[in-house]
Amino acid sequence: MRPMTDETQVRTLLAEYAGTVLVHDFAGNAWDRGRARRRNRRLGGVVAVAAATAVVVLAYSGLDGRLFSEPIPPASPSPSPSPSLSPSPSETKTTEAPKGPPVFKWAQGLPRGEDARAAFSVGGVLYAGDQRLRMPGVPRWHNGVYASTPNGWMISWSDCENQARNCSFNGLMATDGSITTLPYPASGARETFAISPDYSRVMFDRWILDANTGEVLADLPNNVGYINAWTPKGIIYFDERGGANQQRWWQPGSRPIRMKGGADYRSDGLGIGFGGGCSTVQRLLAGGEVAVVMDYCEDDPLADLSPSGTRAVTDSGLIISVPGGRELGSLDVPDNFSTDYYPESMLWEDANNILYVIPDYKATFRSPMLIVRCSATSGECERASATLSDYASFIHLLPMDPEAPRDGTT
Amino acid sequence: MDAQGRESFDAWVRSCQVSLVRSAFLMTGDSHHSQDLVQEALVKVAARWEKLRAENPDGYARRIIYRDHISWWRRKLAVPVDELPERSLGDPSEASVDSLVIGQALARLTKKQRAVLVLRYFDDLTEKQVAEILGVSVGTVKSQSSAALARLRQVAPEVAAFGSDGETHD
Repeated sequence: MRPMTDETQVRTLLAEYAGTVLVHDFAGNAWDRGRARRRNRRLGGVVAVAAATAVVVLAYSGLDGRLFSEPIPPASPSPSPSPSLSPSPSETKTTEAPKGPPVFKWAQGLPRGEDARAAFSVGGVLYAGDQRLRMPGVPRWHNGVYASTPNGWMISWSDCENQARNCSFNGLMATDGSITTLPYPASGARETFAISPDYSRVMFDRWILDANTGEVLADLPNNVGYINAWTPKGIIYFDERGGANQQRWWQPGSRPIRMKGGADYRSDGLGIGFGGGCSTVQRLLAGGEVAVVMDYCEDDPLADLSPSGTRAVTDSGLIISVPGGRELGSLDVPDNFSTDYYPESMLWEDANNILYVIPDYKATFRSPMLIVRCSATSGECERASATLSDYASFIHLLPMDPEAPRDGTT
Repeated sequence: MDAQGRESFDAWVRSCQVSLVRSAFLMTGDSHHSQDLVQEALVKVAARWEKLRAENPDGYARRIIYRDHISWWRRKLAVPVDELPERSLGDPSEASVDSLVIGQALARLTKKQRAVLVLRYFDDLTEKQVAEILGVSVGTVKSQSSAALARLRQVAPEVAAFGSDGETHD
């Protein structure tokens, strides 16, 4: 057995394994399937019932024009073959329709509540409560807000129409809209910002800067890669050198330590990791050690922690006590709701409310999105924004006031 | 779609179908389901071809494949799709031992971890591209990737040497 010694070997093994699957030629078929589907829709339920009982024929035209088929036994006994119908494999094998309305449609039908108390950028505008600030750069391209500071936000933007040249910037935007451009990072503006627990310093790539002035406080010998969190117990980052992408703990002045596994940490040192089929709530200790606060081994993994870390919400909207793991309630969301699938971004707005960004996946390019607020106590949900629209595939919600205690349950 | 559009669509399908099916297979572990997912995705791409052809149809198709897979799985929780059916591997005697190991190991990752690995290391997409397809942040891509590699080391001792480059770096 060859040991996997580097990333290249992972690629090789994946490629080898992928090579074991037979690939049919779809060209010329997908369009026909589309026409067949429209025809079936016009015929309505009669066709649907007939299709569900028909002998399924998987028909793919080969590259050389050959046609071959693979019969699949019907699930129900003694179906009447219908030679005129060749329903798609998935239409026949999937007999259970998605429960509940499409999530975006559900969100559109919710009562309108107060605007979300969160900061985010969409369509080149930074929203922060009642404030609307124009972001620099070209809205169509990468620009965003990545962290809240006591005086504003850490932002990133591009000012060119294409990405052929490096024209990305990181900066600090104050609440009056003024911008301090930070020194030009070699790797371009990315989501690599972190702010120190006392909000005095920001860090990205190889720079540590004064968070208020942008003055360079330290120029590190190496780019530290992606910074996950800057906690009182140290900085968590991903070492990207050689494509290793390993999570490391680093206290400035000490040697970085490679951490076991990987987890998403936040600035208070709490994080959610995954392993062994379970999601785990973890707390960062001194020296890069990690204490497991709770294992949660249900199919519905933990998605986010409340501000105090005493509750968690799962992908499907269950509220779970931490560290007890007891189910406290559930959000009144559709059955097919999942942070693993539908909502693009989420944030505990305060101790009792969770915000979700829900896009309309039927749209392409400038996707309509809605922010929805769900109560972690009553489960009720409401719209917390007008319909937003952006080229970006998701928007990132940030707490409005990072210094204020946001959870009364501590 | 006019004749010219259909011609360009067919050309695009031929250029990417092998990659799409193999990606879907690595995500699902099921050859039949992967074919279904790709066909569904191609139907959706075809419906939007006039707009997509000038943009990024590959990324759109991969996003559809991933989301349809998750959606399908959520409706079929009772079906252990994570268990790799033997038919996916064809004749085991023809599959290399490494492929068997990686197949079994992939089956023990979460769906998101598996998708991240496939998109990052099989499709060779950047972390930002992976994040856009999965609808998550770059940080999530990194943490899921790291967790997935750690999980691979855990569940497949044969590959335990992966990523072990020492405890510290300069």
